[in-house]
Amino acid sequence: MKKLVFAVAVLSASACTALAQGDPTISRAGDLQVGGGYTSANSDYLANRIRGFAFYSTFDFRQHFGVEVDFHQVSDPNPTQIYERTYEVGGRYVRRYGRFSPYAKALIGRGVFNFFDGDANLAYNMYGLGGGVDISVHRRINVRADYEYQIWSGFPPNGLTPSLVTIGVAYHFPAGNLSAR
Amino acid sequence: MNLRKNLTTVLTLTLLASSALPAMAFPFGKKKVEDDGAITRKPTAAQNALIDKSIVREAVVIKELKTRVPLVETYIQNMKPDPVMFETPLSDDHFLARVDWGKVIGETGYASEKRGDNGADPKTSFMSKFKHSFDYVTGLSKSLHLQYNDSGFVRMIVIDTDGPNSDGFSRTNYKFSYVRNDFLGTVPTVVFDVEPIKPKPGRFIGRIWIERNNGNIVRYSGDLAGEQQDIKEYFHFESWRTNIQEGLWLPTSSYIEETDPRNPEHVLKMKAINHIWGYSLKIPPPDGDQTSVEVVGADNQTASDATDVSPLGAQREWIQEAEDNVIDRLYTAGLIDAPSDFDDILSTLANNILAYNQVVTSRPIKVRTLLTEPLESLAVGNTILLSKSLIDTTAIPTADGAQQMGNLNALLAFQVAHIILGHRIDTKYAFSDRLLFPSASAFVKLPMHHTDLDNVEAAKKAMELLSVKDLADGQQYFSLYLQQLKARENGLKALTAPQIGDSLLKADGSFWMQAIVAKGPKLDNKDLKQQGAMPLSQYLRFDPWTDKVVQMKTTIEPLLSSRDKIPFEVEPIYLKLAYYQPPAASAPAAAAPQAAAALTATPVASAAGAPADAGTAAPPAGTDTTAPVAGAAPPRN
Repeated sequence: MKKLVFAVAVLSASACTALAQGDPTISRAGDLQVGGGYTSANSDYLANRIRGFAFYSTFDFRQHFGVEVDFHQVSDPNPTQIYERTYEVGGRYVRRYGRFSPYAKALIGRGVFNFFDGDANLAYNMYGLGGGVDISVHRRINVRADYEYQIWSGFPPNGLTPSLVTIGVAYHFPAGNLSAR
Repeated sequence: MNLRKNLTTVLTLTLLASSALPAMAFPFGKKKVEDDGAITRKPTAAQNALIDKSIVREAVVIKELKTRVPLVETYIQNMKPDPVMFETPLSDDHFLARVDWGKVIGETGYASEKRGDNGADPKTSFMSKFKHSFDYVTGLSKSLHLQYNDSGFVRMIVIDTDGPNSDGFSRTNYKFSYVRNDFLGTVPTVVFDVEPIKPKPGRFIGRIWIERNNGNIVRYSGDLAGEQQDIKEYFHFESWRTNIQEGLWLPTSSYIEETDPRNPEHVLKMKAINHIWGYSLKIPPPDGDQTSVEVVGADNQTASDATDVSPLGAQREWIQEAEDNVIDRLYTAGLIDAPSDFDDILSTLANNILAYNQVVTSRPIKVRTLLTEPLESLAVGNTILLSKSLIDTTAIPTADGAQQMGNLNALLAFQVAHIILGHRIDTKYAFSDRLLFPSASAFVKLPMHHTDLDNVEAAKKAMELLSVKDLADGQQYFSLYLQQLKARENGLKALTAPQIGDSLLKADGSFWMQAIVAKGPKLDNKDLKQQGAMPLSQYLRFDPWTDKVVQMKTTIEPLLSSRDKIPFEVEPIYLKLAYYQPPAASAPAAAAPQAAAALTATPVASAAGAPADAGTAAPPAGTDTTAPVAGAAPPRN
């Protein structure tokens, strides 16, 4: 697990330090998208799948590297009041092939688990690894298919490892027409 | 649950998904040396020696540049497809700055001080804080859009600055391949392909031309490594240097262009040009020294019997001082050229307009050239300033030179009318501190233009001046020019926005001299016999050391299709290089103050009432006025 934390840190840090470069002809701060979507998850706690929603935002400040912020809320469709909620931030590696931008991500954050009938509501440190693809359907609209594997290391007794699948739509801030700074 | 197994699966899947497709199949974001089919070879011992010499000379150039503060002007045109003319400007941008090379080469940037319109620091009042908050939000949004970096264009003027002494061009960073021998003008060169050993961002990839005698790099063409598509991009460029002093080859111009990869017709995404001049300029003295600027040739009143000055006389002196001050400072700032033979030609044309109309002025009219790209003109006292691009784009080559003459007469008539009507510049410029130019920052626009009312009156008067028999025929040509400009106006906002003087256009998009549009035939871009305007840099070139303009000796290129019409467009540079020749005579490099002195000179003969041989048709003829006609005609080789 320590190796995983180290890997996340290196992914983020290396992207930042590499920013110092010669003056380009054109540039912008980065590529930003903000979106939301539907999430289906294997909770690793209940036998049935749980469902919910997600919000996410990515900001790629280099061609292949960026940061991602994710929020997931997935709840048991049965009246048990069980849900898993996560707040995550981390780095991502992305490649661009025309409209398709496959990516891999490594995130860190907090997970909140609401137990049966609301008997307890506890928060744990957690990590997430995942990947997917952002598809540009319009210069301002991206569609995403995302898979994320989460590790709630402090969850008793032996940790919790939910896996989530998200289908989302995001507003993409386009590069725009070239203009003077 | 088997954690290790799951982790392995996830990592494997995501990495496979992100890198499964071969990068070669999708060349985005990669900069590779383009194979143009030329055969490259390993350099011989002699060629290696020349490369070593060029590395030493490049370090000398950078060292020399660090002592200079020239002006660098960048003009950019973003292009779009056009069904008739292939492509046409969609929008444009213009940067003008005096560059402190010591800072730029050190990668600390330049022109970083943002100032208000009046050159003062932005206010920080209570209300302005709200504005700043709003600006922050809009600025944040804007920062997500791709924007041109002026320093990125300036960067193209040297090959590589990433070294211990800003001299990154070395054998440790680059490998060389011999291509061929070549002549650029009269300069023998050896051509090499250059590639960075490690593709670090900002390293040059391309081709260099090394002058064979002394090892100076005189031309280089290529791109910079390290592009990140849609985040940070480098554009292809070609830079030229000229031998402006003995043994000194300094950057003169760069041409930049980038094709739109998504356009199947290969229309350019953008093209731009860098011009550099004013190498011999000195940094304007600090604020406290402004009053010590001496106007060479001005009346030395201590040597004559000083008399009291009447209020009217004082007013005239005051205005005269403001005008002298403006001309002097504009030259010091490198915005106008050193007096040249071509300026004399224009001066004669302007005085002929007076003569044909039998208008007598107390002083002859002088004309100087604004060295900047925007299309503008200005009258400061009896000195008319025409921008270089205005002269370039109106220089339509015809057998008799009548079209160019007609255009020049119309341009000059507008400012001659201002002079006749007594329109003044703001006398605040009589105070020397009012016209300060920062030593190393972007030029703010200087609001020295005439008022709208003055321009309306001047346009009306200009039409009167041009209606005399000898000048009337030329109106049709300027009509075509204005129609051509109107057709492209939307894409040329920066080109038509004046830096200091009067625009051709009103705020509503019509022309001040709109009445002349009706005097010519209708513009037809498909008609190859009709040409309304020429591309930029068509007619004049300037010496980046002396700031003198000279007419280029070009041949007339016949139009083969409407695509050959490239009005108001940036075009590639191709210089006929030559070794420096010291001036034959010891004529001093003319300085701006001479213009101020000329303002006090005795009236020219034509001002006495009639031009020499005024009865001949345009272009004006006569012993003295024949010369400008010949000079204004398209040169032939």
